[in-house]
Amino acid sequence: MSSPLTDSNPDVTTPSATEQALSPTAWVERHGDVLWRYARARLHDPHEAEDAIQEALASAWAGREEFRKDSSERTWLLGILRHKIGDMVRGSKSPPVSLGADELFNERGLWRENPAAWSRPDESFFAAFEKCLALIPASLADVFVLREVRGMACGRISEELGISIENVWVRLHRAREGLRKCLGRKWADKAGKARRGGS
Amino acid sequence: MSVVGDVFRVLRMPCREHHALYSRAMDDAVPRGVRIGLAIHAIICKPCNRFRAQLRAISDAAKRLSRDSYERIMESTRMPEDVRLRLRSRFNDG
Repeated sequence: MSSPLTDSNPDVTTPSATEQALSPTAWVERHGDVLWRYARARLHDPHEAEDAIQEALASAWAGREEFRKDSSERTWLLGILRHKIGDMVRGSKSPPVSLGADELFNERGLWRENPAAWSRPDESFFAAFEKCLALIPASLADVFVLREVRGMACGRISEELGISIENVWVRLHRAREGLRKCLGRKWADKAGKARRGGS
Repeated sequence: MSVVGDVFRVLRMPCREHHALYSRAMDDAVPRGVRIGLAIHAIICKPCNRFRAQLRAISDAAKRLSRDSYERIMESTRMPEDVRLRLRSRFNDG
């Protein structure tokens, strides 16, 4: 299965990698960024991402005899990492499902603080949006982009990432909520102050 | 449940319950009656109306974002140096 996040990364490792270069530390050097992005796109917690990479590298080292020289090293490592993450996501370490509703609503279920009326989005809004998308957890941003930027159906995302459809919906909701809060801070508040200051 | 039943069920819910449903409705994951109930509620409830407008602004912004620019953002996500050092030292130690 190909990943939309790794397709664009050319695999620079040639099949004729030397025996000496075949080691976990060399893999960290050559593929660390790609493995990290892949893990962070799927796991909410950076510590879990680090654990998953460590376990994947250990498994790869233990099973290095199975590495076929005709396949690419990066694809092989990503395949092992994908399995490790799949185990973690399916196990007890699934992402938290808290929706942050307690801080938004009172005990009667009404808004504690009314959402602000945003002015019409301008270029500064889109600039803030890009920044916010990089700031929310990658495990949420990844699902959000597959859905909203690429227009992928939720069922397809569920299959692609190996998570339940309920988990897809929850992640989408949390991504939107994270973006909304971030845009409130980075754009709406500043735009409001600028307007007040200018008038 | 019938469409009308869903509409009334949604209209009886507090805003707290609508919060996640507005998001889910954007993913075609709610029945028609729920969608209609949410739309009616948003007409009469100013905070929910604003919340829904914010979600739409976010969705519209995402539509403008091309695949290239997302990958540019992700490209900046490099493995932090402390993680790299820890991994290296763990494997060096055996």
